[in-house]
Amino acid sequence: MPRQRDVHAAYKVEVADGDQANGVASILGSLLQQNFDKFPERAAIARRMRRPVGVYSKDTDAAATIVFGQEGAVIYNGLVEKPSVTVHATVNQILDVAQLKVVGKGLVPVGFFTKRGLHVLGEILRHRLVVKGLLTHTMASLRTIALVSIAE
Amino acid sequence: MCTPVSESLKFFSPEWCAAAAEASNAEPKVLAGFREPAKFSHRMEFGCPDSGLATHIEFKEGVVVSWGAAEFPEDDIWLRINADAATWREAAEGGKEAGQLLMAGRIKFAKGPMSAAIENGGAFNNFIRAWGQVPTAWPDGA
Repeated sequence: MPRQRDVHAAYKVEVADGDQANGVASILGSLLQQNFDKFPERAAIARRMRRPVGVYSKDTDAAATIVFGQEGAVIYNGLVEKPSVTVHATVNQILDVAQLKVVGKGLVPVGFFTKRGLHVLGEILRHRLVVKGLLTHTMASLRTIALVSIAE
Repeated sequence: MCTPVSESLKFFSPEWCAAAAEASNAEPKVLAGFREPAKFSHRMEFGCPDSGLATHIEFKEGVVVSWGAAEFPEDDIWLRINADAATWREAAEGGKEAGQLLMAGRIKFAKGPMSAAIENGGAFNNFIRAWGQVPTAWPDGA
């Protein structure tokens, strides 16, 4: 009989490059692990992520890729493994996105209906904040926001 | 106009911390940059490991009430933020915002919630920028 996975097991985040991790990888690593510790229910959202997600910081010219697994996630320097969703944003835009609230298992972005959320949408419409994969991988894009969000 | 070196305060010395606290508290963008200033009451460490410097600071409701030598017990330290002297100087003098230097991996959160940096990013940037108002004798190499 196949062994069942403990859905309540802690979801761990590993930064693959350790001390050599760039700033984006390092921050994503800390942020995601602290989010999974604080909101353990978000592990279920992470387990639904089938493809990697990339984040490129435009003003520091650095990127990182999050590869999600069933037990945990690994974050790599740079854009690797062909992410299905890649966010190209300034530091301030990344900080704004990380404060958007998403509910409904990561699929209902209520945070977009706030002053900050409308600002983020405006930046997307003006192509100042680019989410590659937003239209073709919409659910993955919304789940990405839910995972990095610090909003309760 | 350049400040004579003799009038500059040694970076992270008690005199420098007092002057930087005054400059920070006088800068309205710091208080305005907190998500909830009334709830921002924390003890933190700002360090410069490459120069062997560490200072402890206490905020009460978004205002600096003490800043000086490292003397708080470890359990009291909510955030520990480190950078080399050259990085602190760049942020203080406005070369780059502290948030950008954090994303570049040059300012490091060694302890504490990353959410604090995200939701108080405006305060963080302007707090470090206020250091630039203090005539500073930076460590060699900064």
